[in-house]
Amino acid sequence: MKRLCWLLFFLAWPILALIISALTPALNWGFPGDGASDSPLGDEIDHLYYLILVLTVIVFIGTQVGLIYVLWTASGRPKDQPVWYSHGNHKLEIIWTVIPGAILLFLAFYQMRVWAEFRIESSFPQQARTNIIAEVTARQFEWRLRYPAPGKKLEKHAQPGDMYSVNDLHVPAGVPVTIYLKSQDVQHSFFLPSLRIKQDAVPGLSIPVWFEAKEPGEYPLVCAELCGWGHYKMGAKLIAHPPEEYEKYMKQLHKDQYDDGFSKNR
Amino acid sequence: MYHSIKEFRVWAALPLCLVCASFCAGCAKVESRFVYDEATDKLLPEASLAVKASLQSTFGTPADPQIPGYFPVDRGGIVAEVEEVSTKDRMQLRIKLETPADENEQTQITAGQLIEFLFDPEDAFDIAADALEVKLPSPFDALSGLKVVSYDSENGLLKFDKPLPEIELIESGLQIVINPNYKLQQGSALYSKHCLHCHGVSGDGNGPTAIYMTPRPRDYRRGVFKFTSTGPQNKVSTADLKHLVIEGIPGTYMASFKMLPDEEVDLLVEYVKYLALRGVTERVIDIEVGIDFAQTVLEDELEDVEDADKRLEIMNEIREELAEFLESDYLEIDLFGMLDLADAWDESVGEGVLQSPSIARTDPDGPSAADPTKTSLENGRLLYLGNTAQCASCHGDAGKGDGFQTRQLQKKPDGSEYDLPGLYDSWSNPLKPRDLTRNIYRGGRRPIDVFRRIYCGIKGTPMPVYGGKGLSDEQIWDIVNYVMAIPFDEQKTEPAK
Repeated sequence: MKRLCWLLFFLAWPILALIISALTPALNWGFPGDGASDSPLGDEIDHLYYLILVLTVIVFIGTQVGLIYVLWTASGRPKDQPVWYSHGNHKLEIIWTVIPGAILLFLAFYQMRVWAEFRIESSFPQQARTNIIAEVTARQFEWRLRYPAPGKKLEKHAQPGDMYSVNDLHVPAGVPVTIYLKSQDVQHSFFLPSLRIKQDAVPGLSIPVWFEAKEPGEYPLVCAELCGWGHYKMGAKLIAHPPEEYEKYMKQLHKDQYDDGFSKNR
Repeated sequence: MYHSIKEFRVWAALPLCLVCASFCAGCAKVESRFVYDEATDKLLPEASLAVKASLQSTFGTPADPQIPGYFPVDRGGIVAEVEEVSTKDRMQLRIKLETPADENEQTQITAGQLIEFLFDPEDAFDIAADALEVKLPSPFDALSGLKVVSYDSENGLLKFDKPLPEIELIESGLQIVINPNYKLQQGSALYSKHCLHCHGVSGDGNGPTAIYMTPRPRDYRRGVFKFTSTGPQNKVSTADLKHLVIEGIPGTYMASFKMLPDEEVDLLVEYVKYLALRGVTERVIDIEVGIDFAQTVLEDELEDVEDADKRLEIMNEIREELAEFLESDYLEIDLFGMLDLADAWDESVGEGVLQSPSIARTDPDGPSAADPTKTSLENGRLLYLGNTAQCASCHGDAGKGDGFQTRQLQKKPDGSEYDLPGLYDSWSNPLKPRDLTRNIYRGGRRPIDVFRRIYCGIKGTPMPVYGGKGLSDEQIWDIVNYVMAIPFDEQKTEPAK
């Protein structure tokens, strides 16, 4: 009886873990919103995420079943029987080395394309490489933005016609775009949760980040690296416009940026 | 290790107790309090107490902020007009709402809300003064803490918990405010969350994180704000403050608060104005009272007096004068000081004080409107370096913010010299002239922003006012064009990387 109680005690925890995991979508502990990503790359990242989730669940159940089996059989061993040691058992060692190794190797090759597309500049989609729309400079505690003048390309150094803004990053929807990410002080992290984009901003580096918002709309942009007491203040917005509206917005921004307080009022 | 399970339990309980204790300590309610100006503490003790008491009764506490209705602060409240004063039942009034009640919780009249009567301040003062003269308590005392018991929206009957005193000013047509200052209370909560750690509970720019910052957070209590669109003699406008809260100030620690909903920004701005007005009021009263009743005045009187009896006599004399002053003139100084302030700030709220150029910006490469023989940029450069504007004396010939004035000893407002060379702002913080090569513009980078910095000056700093006297608008545009071109002196073009 005592043996069964202990067994149930150890069995209860993995079962509880599985139940809670199964309930997370209903508790809204999973991905934000409806759970779907708002960018094409995000869909692929989600696919990798779910694949790894399924694999780890299978491994988790397998190892827990093995653990319970060992507990049950070993605790039921009559006192006068000799103990059985598995240490040094070649067959077992090979099994539990090769199986995880194969799984990891599979994952390593399987995700390579998506990872390269996300992080390695030469593998960026062609459109993202030409569509450089802004320089985003993180600083305690805001995102300072620099856009090129309408019709101009973004230059490495500030140009006379550049437009500046703060926190609200405006982009065209439905096309891959690239921003250059910088930091003025400490490490920050550019995080678009619903687009599954996260990239650290590192002082001294200018890091290209590309993403594509599928639909026009507003998406949260937050800092994902605890950067100081005002970390929460870096809550900002990514605003994706239909392409023609984006052009219009940029023209308006240019007009506002070069407002001389006279011409506009007459 | 442990000799018994009992001993183990005792030791294991210790960290648990510590965690619980720290939770309890952390959750203790901290009452935040306004601190008072140094000048208030330098008054004679009785005068200092009186100033503090009147400030508290006028402006309340951080948890319960309030401000008289005549100040141009949107403090919130349901405004109504008295339609009929019943002569029989002094516990009710018939009123007509001026702001239609909507679904908003704060704009619904519910039991327990305070009622404030918007008497003409001068008339009310006269009545209170008359009562004081015959040693009677002020009839307005009976109105303090008056609360709503019920309100019938059908017939407009407002019932309250105390009978109205006999004051002739309570008549039909008088405005009343129900639930006054609720916006300030909301603003206070938001301010504690987002602003207090730098700007301090009292808005003195001395919050817990302030010591780590250069430049120091603004001390609102002087009512002086640097980046304004108003005239040199005007205060800051509400729109200016709102713009700064939303856009932040690049080059300083003031971050953008674009993430806050518009209503919350408005509440914060009104609360900042409230803190500024509270601080300015305190300063004005301190100056008035300090003329006769500062500690230094007493010290001066006693300076050459050796005889102990004589000293006592002088001290008692001043005490008596002070007691008399506090009973009579002080109330007048307090009220009329505040009314003057309200007037001065009221002017800055309107659009009329907005400073705008009289001509459009000239094309930087086109001919200057001030001197058509040169291009605008060229004329701007000459003005920048020249003796009329003397920009280079502070900002340096190359615009690096290293002009010769930064190596001179400067004078304090009281005429003595600072110990270290360099420029200082009105808060006596060391100040560097802006490095114009850095392409960072604290007060905004639109041409109109830079124009206004030159035209209106930067309040509280040595940056002078050029508009209307030193330079013409045409010349200012030339300087704006030149200043905005300084960061691009060495034109660098290469693709972003």
